[in-house]
Amino acid sequence: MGERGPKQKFTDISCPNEKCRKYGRTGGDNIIANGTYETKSGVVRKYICKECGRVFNDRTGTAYQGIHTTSSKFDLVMACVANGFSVRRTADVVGCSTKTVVEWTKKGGHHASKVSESLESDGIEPVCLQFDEMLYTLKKR
Amino acid sequence: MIFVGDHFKEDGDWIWTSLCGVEKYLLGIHADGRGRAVAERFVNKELDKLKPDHMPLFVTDGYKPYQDILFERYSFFHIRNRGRGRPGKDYLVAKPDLNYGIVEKTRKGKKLEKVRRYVRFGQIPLEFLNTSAIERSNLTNRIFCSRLRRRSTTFSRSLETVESSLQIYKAFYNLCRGHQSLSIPRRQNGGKYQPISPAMKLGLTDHVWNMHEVMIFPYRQNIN
Repeated sequence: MGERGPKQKFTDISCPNEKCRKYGRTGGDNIIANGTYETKSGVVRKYICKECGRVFNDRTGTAYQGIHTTSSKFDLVMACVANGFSVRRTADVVGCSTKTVVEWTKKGGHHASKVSESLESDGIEPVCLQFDEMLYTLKKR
Repeated sequence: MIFVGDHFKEDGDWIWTSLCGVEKYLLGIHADGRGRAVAERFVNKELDKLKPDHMPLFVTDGYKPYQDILFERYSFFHIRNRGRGRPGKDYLVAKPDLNYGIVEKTRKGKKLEKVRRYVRFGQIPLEFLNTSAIERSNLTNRIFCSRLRRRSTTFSRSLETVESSLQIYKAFYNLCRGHQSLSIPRRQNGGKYQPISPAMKLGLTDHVWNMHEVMIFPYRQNIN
């Protein structure tokens, strides 16, 4: 049994339900714990939003949502993609199939674009802005 | 005489990039075709990321659509005579705070022959106009993204995957990688090298991230 005392408050967690009134808002008292479960990366805590009733966990809204592997392996694939490894070489280094690398690239890319978008959402103030374009090869099937 | 960019046809597969020249922040990188419609879509999307009242110095190559799009975006209608006499025709005038310069490169065969700099709108000293930052960034993009590499057997088959890998690369370049020209060298920092990423220079974050931080970042909380 755990120590008696006031229940833990999850003020830094927000509801991931876009239709919820408190979507993305931290500091409220609408999030409560709803148990834990084991994954390959360790224990993941589950939460419930009292406002809309949505059940979610630590991985909801991150790139690790729905992957059946450790987060370190996923990070390794992302680092390989960002450092100029080809799909086959990444698959060889990490030890997974090329299909998995492509799927994870799509998942990571979607999350990375959301991260960039959220960081730039307040607007930025650069001194100088330059535009350019360059050619590349896309062989469509 | 061939201008760089003019000898390419208005088709093919292209990567459109926009870079903050001083802060080295890769603002946008996008895979698409070529032409005015694509340029309009891309440039307007990038300009939406700026603060509403902020006007940076714009520098591009001699590709015509950039000039038209920037002019249309930052201009207002000058209303001619509405009083007595023949009514005049209204026309567009560029905003007074718009500063836009063009760097046109001319080449003969493979050799660069001439670089012509001129101011299209505003008052800018000519020595401020150069596109070297973004051209150097294009090389970095080609090195760090295997799908953009030249003279290689590596290529892509799906546009969606190209777009995804470009977004991963953008986050990695802006957040996880100290830029050499921004970082503080050892001799200036008491023997310790301090990496500074482009996002830190722009004030978006206070430390260099790792890939785990990017992938676990709760973006929904930052938007609100």
